[in-house]
Amino acid sequence: MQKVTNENFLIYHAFGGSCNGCDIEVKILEIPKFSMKKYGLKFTYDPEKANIILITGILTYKCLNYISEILKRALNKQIIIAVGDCAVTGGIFFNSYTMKGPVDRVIPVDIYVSGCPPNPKLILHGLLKAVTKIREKKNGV
Amino acid sequence: MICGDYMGKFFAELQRDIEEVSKVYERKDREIWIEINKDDLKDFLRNLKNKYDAHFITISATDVGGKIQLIYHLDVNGLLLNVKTKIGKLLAIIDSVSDIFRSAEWIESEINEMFDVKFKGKTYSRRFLSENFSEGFHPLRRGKL
Amino acid sequence: MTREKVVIGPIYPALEEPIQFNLMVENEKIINVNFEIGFHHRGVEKLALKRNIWENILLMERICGICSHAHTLCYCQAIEKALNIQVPPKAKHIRVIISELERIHSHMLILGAIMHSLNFHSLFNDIMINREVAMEAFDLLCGNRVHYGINTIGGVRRDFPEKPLKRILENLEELETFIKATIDNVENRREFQDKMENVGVITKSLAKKLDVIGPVARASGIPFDIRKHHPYESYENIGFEIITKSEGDVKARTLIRFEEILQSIRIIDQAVDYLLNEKDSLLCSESFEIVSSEGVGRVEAPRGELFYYVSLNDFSIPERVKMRTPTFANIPVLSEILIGEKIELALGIINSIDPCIACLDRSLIIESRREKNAKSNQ
Repeated sequence: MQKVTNENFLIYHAFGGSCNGCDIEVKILEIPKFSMKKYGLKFTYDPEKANIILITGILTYKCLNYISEILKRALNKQIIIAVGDCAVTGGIFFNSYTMKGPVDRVIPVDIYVSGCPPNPKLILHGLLKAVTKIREKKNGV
Repeated sequence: MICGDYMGKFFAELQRDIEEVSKVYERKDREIWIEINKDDLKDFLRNLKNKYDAHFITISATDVGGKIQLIYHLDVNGLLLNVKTKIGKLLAIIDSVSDIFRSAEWIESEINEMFDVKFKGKTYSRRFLSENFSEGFHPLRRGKL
Repeated sequence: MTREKVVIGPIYPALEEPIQFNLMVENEKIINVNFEIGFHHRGVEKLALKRNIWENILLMERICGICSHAHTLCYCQAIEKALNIQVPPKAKHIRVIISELERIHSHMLILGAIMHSLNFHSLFNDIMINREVAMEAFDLLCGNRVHYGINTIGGVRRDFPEKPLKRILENLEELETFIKATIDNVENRREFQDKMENVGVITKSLAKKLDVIGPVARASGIPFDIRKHHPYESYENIGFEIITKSEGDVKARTLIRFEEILQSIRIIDQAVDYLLNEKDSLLCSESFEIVSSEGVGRVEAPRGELFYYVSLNDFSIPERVKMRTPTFANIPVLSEILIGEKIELALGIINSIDPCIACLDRSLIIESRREKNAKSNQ
């Protein structure tokens, strides 16, 4: 059970080429019904400042050209979450000729949230687990 | 036999123009499927646009073994007209219709990419798929030729 | 005269999907437009040739997360026309209810995005909160908020019981009050006029020349709607109007979507009325035979006309599945109307066309013709 807090955890949402079902369910977390603000979570558009990197989609070659720099710098410093069946296993587009692979063929993933698409409450649950991991790292566990 | 009972004088004239240049092989509710020679195609489409104000929908391309089959789909005042033509696979070249219908440019570009079909009168530079694929990769073509 | 290049995307706050715009700007006005798409290309037409016609329904659903029911409906229609399968009337009305609920949720999403890109943030929040009415309806009726899985070849897979339908009707009445209040807001307040009136105008002749479809064409005076033009499912027996406007600017395209939501609520009322009063029970047609044939499906998706062509041999694996999405027909108009507008209004104009890039699924680089003229003038 997470307490209401004053700390801020910044999330950067990287697109990997999807149907946009998962992207919209992630964007909706800001409205009062799900209100991720009270747990201290916020979206940012600057990948250097983010604590958490959230990836949706199958990672096409073209998208990978744009976000590969961000992913390289994220290793061991930021928490990586893969949201949606496409990011976790490739989903129904598995082995398409434009697909570099699900996210864990490119970079090791910390948290998987699967579903097609997962309910926003489930995505929030995954984000809170990421927050626990960040706190553990800070306290040197 | 004229299909449907909404056909008036407009459609009777259209019927005559169609049967002059092509062969009707199927009629359904508000749809006509015709087959035409590839050399007569461009003039027929120009006539449809100028005289009947046809609305261009898309072009469907299929690889049917020894040939590539192209179907031009048009909407003429509520009637769906499907114009089928076939071209050989080795040379694979046909007149471009993008000077008659501006919106045909994008779909011809895609057919060039997926099937390696060339369009006379317009060059499409291949830049759809990403740089990771080698030259000569046309995903929807079957077999080697 | 300083010229500078402004790159929008692929990842940008007000854009929902990865698409890149390279704009050349001089004195704060746009003089050239170049855009690059293809981030979402997943090779769906090739994948469809490896699965049978029932497995392809699952694949077509996941082309787009916003208009997924329109894709499966069009695909099933193409096969039903090719094989001469009759769909029972109860299934037709169920399909109509889900189509109209999808139109409501899709329009509210893009209206929120337009308000956000023109800096009206409180209205963006209100619209997204009220959109949850449609999402909860999907959850109650179909079991999932996105990718409902309601269609199959020959009919539908589920029945709708009475209690959830009545609850949804009550929620839609509250939504109607909110929409009517917002229309008054947008029509009369001064801040909306400056940013939306006479901005990004598409004239009727330009719309005809480029074969534009959907709400974009209806806002420029062309009354083209597949539900009346070439009726399908049970739309012939349901009363509703086609809304058209003649100005063709961003304000007309915004107001048209609000009014279409009100028409959709009217259609859902009539379809639910049929389901609650008629007592037939057949949900899907009986068995059919697969023969060599070809068929075409046309459906009015929230963004315009969706078109599918399916070609079958004697096997259950199709020979060709070809789709033409409405955004594919509407996007070329952007390279004409962005020229000459101020750079701060660019995102509002792009969002008013309602681009669904996941549906677009292709990759092209388009160059506007003006740059060549501008160079020769120097």
